[in-house]
Amino acid sequence: MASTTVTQGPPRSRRLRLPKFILAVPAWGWWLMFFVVPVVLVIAASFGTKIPGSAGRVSYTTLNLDNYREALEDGINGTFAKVLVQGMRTTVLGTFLCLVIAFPLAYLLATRVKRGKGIVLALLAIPFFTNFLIRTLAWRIVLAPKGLISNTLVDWGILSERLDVLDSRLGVQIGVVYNYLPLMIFPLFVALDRLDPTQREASKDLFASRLKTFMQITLPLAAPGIIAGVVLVFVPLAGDYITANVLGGADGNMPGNLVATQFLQSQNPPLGAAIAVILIFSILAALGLAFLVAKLLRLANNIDRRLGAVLTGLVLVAAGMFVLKPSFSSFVTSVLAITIVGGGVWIGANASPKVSTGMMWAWSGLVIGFLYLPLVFVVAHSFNDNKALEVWAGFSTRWYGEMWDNTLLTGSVRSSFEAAAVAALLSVILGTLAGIALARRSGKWTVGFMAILLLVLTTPEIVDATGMQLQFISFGGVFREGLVPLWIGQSIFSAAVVTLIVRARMQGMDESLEQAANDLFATPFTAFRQITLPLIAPAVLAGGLLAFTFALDNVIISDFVKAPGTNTFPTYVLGQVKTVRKPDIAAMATVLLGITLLVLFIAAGILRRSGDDSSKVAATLTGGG
Amino acid sequence: MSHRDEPVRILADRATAQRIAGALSRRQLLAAVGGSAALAAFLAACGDDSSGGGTDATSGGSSGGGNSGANSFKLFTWAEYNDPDLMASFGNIEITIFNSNEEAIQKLVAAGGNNGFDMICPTGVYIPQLAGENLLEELDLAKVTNFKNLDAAYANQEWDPNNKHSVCKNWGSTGWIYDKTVITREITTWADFIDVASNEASGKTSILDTAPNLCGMYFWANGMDWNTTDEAELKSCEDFLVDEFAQHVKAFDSYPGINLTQGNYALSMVWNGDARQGLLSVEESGGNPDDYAWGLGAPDTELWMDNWCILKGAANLDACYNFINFILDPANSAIDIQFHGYNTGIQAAKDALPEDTKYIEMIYFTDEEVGRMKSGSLDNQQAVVDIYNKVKAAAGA
Repeated sequence: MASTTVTQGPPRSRRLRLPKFILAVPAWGWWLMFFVVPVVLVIAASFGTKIPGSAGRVSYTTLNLDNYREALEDGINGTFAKVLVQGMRTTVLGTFLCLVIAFPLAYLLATRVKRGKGIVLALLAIPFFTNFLIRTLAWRIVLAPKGLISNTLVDWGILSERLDVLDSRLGVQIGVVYNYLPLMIFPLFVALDRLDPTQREASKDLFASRLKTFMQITLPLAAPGIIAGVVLVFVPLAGDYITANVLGGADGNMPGNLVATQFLQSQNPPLGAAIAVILIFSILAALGLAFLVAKLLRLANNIDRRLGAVLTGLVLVAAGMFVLKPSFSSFVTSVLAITIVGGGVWIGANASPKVSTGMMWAWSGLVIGFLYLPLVFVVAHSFNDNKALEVWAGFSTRWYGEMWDNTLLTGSVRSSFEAAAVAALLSVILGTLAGIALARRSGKWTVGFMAILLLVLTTPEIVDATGMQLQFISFGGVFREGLVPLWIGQSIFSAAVVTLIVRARMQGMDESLEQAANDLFATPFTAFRQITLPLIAPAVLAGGLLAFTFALDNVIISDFVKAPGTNTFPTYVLGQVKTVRKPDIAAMATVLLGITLLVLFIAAGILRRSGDDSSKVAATLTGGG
Repeated sequence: MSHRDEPVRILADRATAQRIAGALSRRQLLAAVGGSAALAAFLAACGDDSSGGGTDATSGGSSGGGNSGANSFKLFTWAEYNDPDLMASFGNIEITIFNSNEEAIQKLVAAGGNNGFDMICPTGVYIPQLAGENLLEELDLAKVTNFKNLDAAYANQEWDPNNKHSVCKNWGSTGWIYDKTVITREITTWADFIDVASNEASGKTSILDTAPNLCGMYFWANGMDWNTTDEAELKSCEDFLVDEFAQHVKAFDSYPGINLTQGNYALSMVWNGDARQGLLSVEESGGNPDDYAWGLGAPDTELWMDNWCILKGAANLDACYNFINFILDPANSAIDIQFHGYNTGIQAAKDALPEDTKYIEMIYFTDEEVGRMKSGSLDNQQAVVDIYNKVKAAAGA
């Protein structure tokens, strides 16, 4: 083989004959087929009609706007509009709280902590790697009206009645902040960690106050991280209905709930599709508005600092009043909240470094406690000697025995692992090839490709899920059998994540080694196997692990596409949430947590061996690049 | 054999070279192998008896099934609806649950067939719709040898003449359960229920997650037929529920019995068997059942009957017939009744119940109580589903 290469002349010329984007073609085709087509189907269905009496089949023959009319009936006072506005309130407040909670922690880690950074990052990553649905369900135990916390508060006389947070919007708010907080912490940390400390020192040398340095140097430089964090939290939160399903009751409805109800229960996919389309546009509009306002505020700030500050304050108060429903009391609350946050920054910046570091440590301790609180409760209640998960009735290990008899539960866990393994493998293959192509063969094609990739990452999962359901039902055959639909469904998002990780790793790498291999007459395949692959192995491993975790965690797509009779662990738990929640779920979750820790430990060990420092390990493991 | 297998040698800095050459150290390899082995063992444990058809060890031991898989099948049903030990003694039954008939039918229709399930337990009035969608197998009653155990009153129902598609599983009714430590007055009618839910139990009330029950509550409270198709009545129902009632609802929950006794609600609309399971769970976790009260709906309330149906194209037809005969056996039926708390329509099973069966008055109703119960129909299905969707949306707005 190699000798033929020699007779054909320099191998590099042979390689160049292929189009530059060749390695990205598999991923591109995959997304075209299983992302673009389903989304188009949803849009088409939103203009279609429900075939009467057919229990949910869609006719595309007479396209019309009836579904939009029905969804937007009664305008702003219509029920859907109300749920949409309410959902946006939860989303905006949730994103803001995540930012405010995460920032001091990320800042502390990035700028003040020298040793032990890896340990703190690992501590932060563990809850993130715990199953999404279990984390959410756990809050039902924490906040249970007859639970430990509620009883203690009543006993101490702090509450006069039992805790009443479950099945309410407040419950959903706590749940979403908890669920999406890690997605804010990691991008912020990565952005702040990359800041050059000398810039801050230069600012100080020029006699800028620490507050001024923070506001005018650190914050603008951290802007990409803030934007990434806001988008990463805002988009999935706006489309999330699982948290609302578990914690929200009747009053915590999110717009996604309406989409899911139309598809899964009310036998009206076209109306559900129309609601989904409106939801996407609302998300885009909200994000667009946010960035426009941010840009204007920046402009104002450049003209005059005080003007900028005043306008920023006004915008924040307006946002606060939107979130809390416009009224005088919400005005007061918003002003108060902004003063407290601003005061916190001011005190932090003006106190001595020791004091401010101490304050940030205290805050970070609270945040870590918050992240672990539900996990502790899940593990504790896996030893509950009661059929009902949430009310403690004594210690017992019986569920660790009985859970093996629940074949539906054990079967779902097995399917989960099998589906996630294949989905992760698919993602690694597609993502690695695409990542290499992006880093090494970029060109005009990159723009279009990145556009699809970003759409994959930012489209609310419910849209892709409903579209895939329509698609797979019309395909039939293997798309409705066994684990095949799960392999496909779970690989869409993960492949995009792997692509980004591999691309980031390769862009930071010297290309000369690969060229050297080329010059030494290695075939492209040999060069890839012996040089490129070992170099990017940590990124591939990290990407694979992350893809596996996402696949294992996946609820929404899995619930919509899963073949008849199959369940993954999350879809099984989701089914139980609405009925009788038994401690066998908690026992299984505890075992899975143990396995996750083991896998993380091994992966971190391998990454460390390959020469990464601890913060890089954590960053790679959490997809931070 | 060829050039290709020889390593490429390149001069690189030490760190990079280490990475390229970096085969895993022995310790890491051990850790990785150990980890994978542990995971593999765990998955093997998970898979032992779950993978349906072909497994031998666990399903073999039980009652008489000859060939492998004769006693395994997939059942699509309501939650907590059969005694798990009884089911296990039959064989390997994989259960998937649903919360409402509409949801179950939607899943089957979306799948365009049996969705992999062998049997389903729909409520009677939905059977014509399921049959119309060509989803149900016609029963061969000659194979249902225990059909004779069923009282004649529960065979040959209006919605399924001559039991062409179904055999009665059990029947029940709808009422309420409430926490007497929160609600001090007595609830005796649906009008009381609505009044309490709108006042002292506002924000602490759960409603069954099904459209007919939600609307039924209003119709029963106002002396209307819950199968009404009268536009004015439907409109008044919608106006009341959306504008005046939705904001008081804490959750839509088809299985509130245990949730209520965990303190999540003060008042719940509930099916009798689920209410009984809630009271039993109070005793189990050391609480005081006297803190709760159950009441059957009045002046009118629901009469529903859930049924065993075999889905068209069922892969385990023999197992389905075996199971129907198994569950129609009076001794087995009696065990099941003590778990789910519903009347199975088998007199011999009632006679076989132990003396100390708890809350038996919640299972077997008096003639006066049965007189209050009215069967549903699908005449107003689309209308009540539309109202239910609007109420749900309004509750979250």
